Amino acid sequence: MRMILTVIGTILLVKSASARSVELLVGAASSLKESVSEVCKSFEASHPQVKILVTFAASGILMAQVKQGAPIDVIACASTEEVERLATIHLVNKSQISDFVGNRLVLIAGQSSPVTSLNNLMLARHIAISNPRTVPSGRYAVNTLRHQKLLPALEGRLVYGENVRQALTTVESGDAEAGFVYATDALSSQKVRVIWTAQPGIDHEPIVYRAAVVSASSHAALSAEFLRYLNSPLAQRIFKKFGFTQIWAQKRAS
Amino acid sequence: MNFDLVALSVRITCIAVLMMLPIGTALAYWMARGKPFPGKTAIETLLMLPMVLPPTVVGFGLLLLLGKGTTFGFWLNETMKISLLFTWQGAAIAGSVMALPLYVKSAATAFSAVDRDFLDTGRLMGASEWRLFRTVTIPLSRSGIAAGLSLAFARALGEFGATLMVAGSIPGRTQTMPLALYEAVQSGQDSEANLIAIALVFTAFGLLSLVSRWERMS
Repeated sequence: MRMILTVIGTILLVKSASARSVELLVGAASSLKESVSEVCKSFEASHPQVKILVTFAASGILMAQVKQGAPIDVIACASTEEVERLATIHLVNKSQISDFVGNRLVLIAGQSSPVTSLNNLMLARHIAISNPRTVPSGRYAVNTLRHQKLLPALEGRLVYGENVRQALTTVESGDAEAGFVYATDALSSQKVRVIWTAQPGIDHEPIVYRAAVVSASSHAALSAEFLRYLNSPLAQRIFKKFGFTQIWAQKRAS
Repeated sequence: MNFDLVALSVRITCIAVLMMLPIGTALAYWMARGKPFPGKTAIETLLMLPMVLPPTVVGFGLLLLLGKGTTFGFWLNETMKISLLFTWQGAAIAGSVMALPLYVKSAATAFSAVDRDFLDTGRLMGASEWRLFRTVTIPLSRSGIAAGLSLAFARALGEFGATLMVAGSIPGRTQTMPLALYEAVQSGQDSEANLIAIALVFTAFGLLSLVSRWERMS
């Protein structure tokens, strides 16, 4: 009996009393973990009444969560596609969308790898990339190889990671002689060196991180302020520190 | 890594198992002793689905069920005012759904192994079905129930995919040890990841030793 009461109690106990200050929930792409955490701290420092909670997940998962009414106020994705799709079904307001950083795709190699540039990538027996079917960075890598006319020769040597971090780990451990990851990931590791950087917009489509205020947010004004803050000089300096590139900040017309 | 993380994980795990326990026990008893009817096997298989499907898929199903996007979810959120997405209660529900099949399977096996003669003797002596269940079936199925409970605790504690979908990964609110571990590895914080992994192992020891203590005691 007590157990049944516990169950009922648990179900009823939803939404515990709100804490002392205003809380904003930011849903951010996994690759933004360190940078957005720091940006949030800096935002909190200038807004003493605000507490920012962050949840990190793959952009696709964040999109599904917003679709189902999860209480996310601001969503920050690793590409433009998710926000675009949310905008078409009016879950984010078109006037509250902002591109805030870019990223680069780089070729990395381990310390003892024979590969030293794109030109002798042939020396690699395995090349680590993310799964191109599910992860944008893997798609960028395949497109880059195709554009460099290396894909037919190297396709058989590609090994897929579930995400970009796995590709990085494979190169770090030496199991793959080279790999394609984001510049931000390469920067976070001391065990790999960047030997070549792809040209966004030429080798592959530009990598743009897009954020938006969720229409259902109960803190619309504050969320909009946070969205603007992502493009502030202070936040941009933090993003730059973690290896993100600046993009021409543009708020698209509604 | 801090103590709050462990406390939250333990709380979510325990509530998940407690929620699952009455439902799971009833289902297990029904599977073991309920009259067969066409479609029973189909329902039993359906109950096992959380083990078959990838946790993320189960999480997506729960997200649909608890979120506002579906009719049921809309009713739950708007009429009943119960919003479970991104709460620790939501994480507990995810854990209990994932743990249910493991518990049900071992409890059902244990229940069906109880000798029917004992039950019939009890019935001849005038005991009610509920009393028989409490004083004959449960004590005789103790090891099976304990095994199921251990599995349920282990599964709920280690739950990752469904939890991330339903509850997100908000530090101090819904972030359990597996989620924190994943994030630490993802962001290359190896020493923190090691620490969380050790804490997770110790927590598992703690919870599972409680279960085996209960088995020995009763």
